[in-house]
Amino acid sequence: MAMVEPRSTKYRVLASHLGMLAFIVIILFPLLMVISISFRSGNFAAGSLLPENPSLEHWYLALGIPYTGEDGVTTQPPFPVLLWLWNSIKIAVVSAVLILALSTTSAYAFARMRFAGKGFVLKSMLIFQMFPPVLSLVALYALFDQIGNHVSWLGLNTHGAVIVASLGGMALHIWTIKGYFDSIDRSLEEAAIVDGATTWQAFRYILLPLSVPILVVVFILAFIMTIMEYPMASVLLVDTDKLTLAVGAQQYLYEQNYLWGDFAAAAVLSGLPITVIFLYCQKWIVGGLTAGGVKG
Amino acid sequence: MAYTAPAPVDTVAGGKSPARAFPVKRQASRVRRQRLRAAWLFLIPMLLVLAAVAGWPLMRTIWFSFTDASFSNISEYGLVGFENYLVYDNGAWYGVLADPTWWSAVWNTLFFTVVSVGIETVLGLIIALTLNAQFTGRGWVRAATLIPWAVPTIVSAKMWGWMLHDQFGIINEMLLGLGLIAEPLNWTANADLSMWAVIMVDVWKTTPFMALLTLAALQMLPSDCYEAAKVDGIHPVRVFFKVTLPLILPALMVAIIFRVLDALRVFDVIYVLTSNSEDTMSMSVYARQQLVEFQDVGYGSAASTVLFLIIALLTISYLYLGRKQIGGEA
Repeated sequence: MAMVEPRSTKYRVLASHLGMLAFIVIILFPLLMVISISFRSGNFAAGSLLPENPSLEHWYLALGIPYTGEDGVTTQPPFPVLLWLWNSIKIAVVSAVLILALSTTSAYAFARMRFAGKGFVLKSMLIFQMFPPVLSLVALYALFDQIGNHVSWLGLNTHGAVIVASLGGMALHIWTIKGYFDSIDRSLEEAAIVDGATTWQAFRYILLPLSVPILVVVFILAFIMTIMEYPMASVLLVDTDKLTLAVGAQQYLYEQNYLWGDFAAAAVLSGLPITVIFLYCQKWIVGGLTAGGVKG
Repeated sequence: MAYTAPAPVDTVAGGKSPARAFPVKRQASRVRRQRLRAAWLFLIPMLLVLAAVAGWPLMRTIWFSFTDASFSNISEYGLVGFENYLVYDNGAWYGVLADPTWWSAVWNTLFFTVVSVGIETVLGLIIALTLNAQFTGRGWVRAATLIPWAVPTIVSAKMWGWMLHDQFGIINEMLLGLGLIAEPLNWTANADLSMWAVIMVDVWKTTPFMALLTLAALQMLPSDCYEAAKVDGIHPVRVFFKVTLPLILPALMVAIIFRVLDALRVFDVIYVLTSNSEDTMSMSVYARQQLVEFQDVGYGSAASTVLFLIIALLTISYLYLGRKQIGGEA
């Protein structure tokens, strides 16, 4: 490294810090507003950033605790927000695990095995994926309606249906994992197979342990996609206690009666799982996306 | 990647493979037969699921686009050929392809895609370049950048819809306070403003993701070119255009293409902010309105099919043009 830093560097560092700060303020301002609303008494949208009468009323209600106001009136929590959060997390985890399992095994086949029509299958999957999910809603509704007559946990208004529907977005993950597998030297597995290992053993004990970074990334991306999904869940789920948080939070916003305070508390809760995961897994996300992104 | 055996020396792994063994031909063919059988075992569960939840809805939509089915009685319908797409009747053209609203939806979608992805790419690049510099608290800044992406779109779109509200929205309040505008603007209903409001919200939401992908590419760059450039005293702007940009271009292109394909299908941001307004209606919003609100399954399916064809053509041309970057063996 250069021993003498040019004087201009100092100003450039200062400028980039200021730029960064301004940028963070712009990014975070709407979120700070939401947090502020969730601590404000009443359901008024307008007001200053620092609540004038801070109150925990919306948080009490969001966490399912009855709230007694200063006037002595007790409000019961209108919606099971924590249950919605639990539903969201449950659906997202199960669907991410299934997506990971299915896309890893098929990516292995695409990356390591030779069979007729491979390129065709890979490309058609990607093209099928391009059909907007909103427009397949009607067809999927009919599909799960039919399935529900035979398999009750996979019919309408079940979490099973939402999970299966979320598997439709798998093709991109298969491409990502396949790209990563392509970058791993295959001679290790070949040696194992020559030494008598089965294909499954070569996959399970040699390739998988080498691919942990990309598997973490795909798990997180699949988790995020499912937990944020709205159109499908809003059509398939009906009962209040079955909703996901993204769907349920909308119940606070009726025409002419927007319960902004309660909505804000639910919105903060809805961003929480992903933020926590991000803080934990940042390193892997950046590293894994690099590997997946460059190779495709 | 080539699939010929024995595998060529892998450039990615640096060609160091101490365990490389050359099996005799007979063993290799036994291995290959065993693999062929295993290949389908590995693939079938995934193919079944995709056929049900991705393939079937698409096929059904294409089928219904040639019928006069309606939502109220979906089991009884007749085939009508291409009538939903384009038909000449009594001296006038009818069908999706003759509907000016559809073409304005196509134009809106293209405008939205080009402008929002353009802004997101440039902003994402600038942010990634700044984040790539060493400074204290970088991890926290990076996490903060990602938060907009972590909030469900439906929630953040509602949030923005309220901030942009014409009567009690905070944006109008601030702009009025600063004296930049004389009276409250109706951001989401004004024909000149609503598309820009939608683009602004999308940029707010998606720029962090572009920045993350660009940052990932930047961190892969070898540091020696930069040291050489520094020793030679080359201006940083020149270094960026001559060294950095060409090196990250492949990764950047992949990110841009995936964003473009995503933006062409845009639905929730537009629907939440401006409902079915024609000024901002995208192709997805148009098709959904025909399908669900007007209950015209045949016509809505035709619109969905055209939308799918447009995106599929773009995807195919990308796979064809970019086969060096993606997949490899494609």
